[in-house]
Amino acid sequence: MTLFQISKWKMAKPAAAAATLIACVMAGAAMAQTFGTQIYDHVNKRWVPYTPQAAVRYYRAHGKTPEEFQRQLVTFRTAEKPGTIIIDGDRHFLYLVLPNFQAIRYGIGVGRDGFGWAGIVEVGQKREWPTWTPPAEMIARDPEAAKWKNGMPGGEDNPLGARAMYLYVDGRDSIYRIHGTTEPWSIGLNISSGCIRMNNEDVIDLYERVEVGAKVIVLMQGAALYKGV
Amino acid sequence: MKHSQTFPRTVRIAGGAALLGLALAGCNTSGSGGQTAQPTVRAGANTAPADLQLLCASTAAQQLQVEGDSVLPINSGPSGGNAYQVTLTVPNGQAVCIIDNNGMVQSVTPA
Repeated sequence: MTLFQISKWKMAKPAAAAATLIACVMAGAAMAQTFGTQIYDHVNKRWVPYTPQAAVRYYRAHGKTPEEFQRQLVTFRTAEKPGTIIIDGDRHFLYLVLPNFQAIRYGIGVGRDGFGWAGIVEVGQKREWPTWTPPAEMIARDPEAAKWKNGMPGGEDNPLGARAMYLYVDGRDSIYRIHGTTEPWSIGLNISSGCIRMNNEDVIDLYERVEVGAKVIVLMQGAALYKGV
Repeated sequence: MKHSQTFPRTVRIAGGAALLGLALAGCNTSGSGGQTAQPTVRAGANTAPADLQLLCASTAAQQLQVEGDSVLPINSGPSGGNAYQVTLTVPNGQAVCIIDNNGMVQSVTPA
């Protein structure tokens, strides 16, 4: 499903697709992953797909996601200004650029197959414990979602998690967000409908460091929303 | 960390000082590509690290004399043993950038 077209490497105006508002958080967990993560199987000594099932098992066993997805300070050679957010959808990392060729790297979950996108956007709004409004199509198929048709208040059960940064294009809400999650095991997966999800501790950390107006560069190989690709 | 080969000593010293000064509770340090001592997970696609992709984009923008925001990496992969090939969208087309692991852009050519 294509919600938007990319124009000149920026996301074009959101189609009147407000109906899909915040569909990002409820994508099916078993969807195919075009460029999915792999995890090393020490028993059989080979790399295997890091599926949602594997991610749940790992999280149950370790109480956290793999170390690669833990928040960490890394070297980042870039000319982008400090405060810029770089999202590497293929490797499931979000970088916040710091001075002196450093960045904070966070693990993320990204759009599942067909829902990935890439472009240059900006943080247009920030919200603590944001309201989540399920899209009409979700309300139609899920009675549980229907009761939140007018918006689910922010809180621990809200699928947007503790914080949300609303991504804007040319001053307009793209409907995509960087947000927290109630499913911390899902970091590292292609699982959303296009939103960037982080565990709640990380999204709170990022939220405190990011200003409205911050540039956000989203890289995702194979994303379907490029014009001319 | 791999980066230290590519920057002048003064930059490295400044970077080190900044590193010490950062109050990043709970943060570890590692290279930008996600290589830790014993990785348990890896990306399924062998794309170029994000910083190398963006270095290609900024170099291409300079060479083509276009706005930086009009150039975006769209594809990347290994090129030889120590470099990556990055395909870029540019105004009116695409370009291909070759960049080595040290962050040195080898070439930018129209696709």
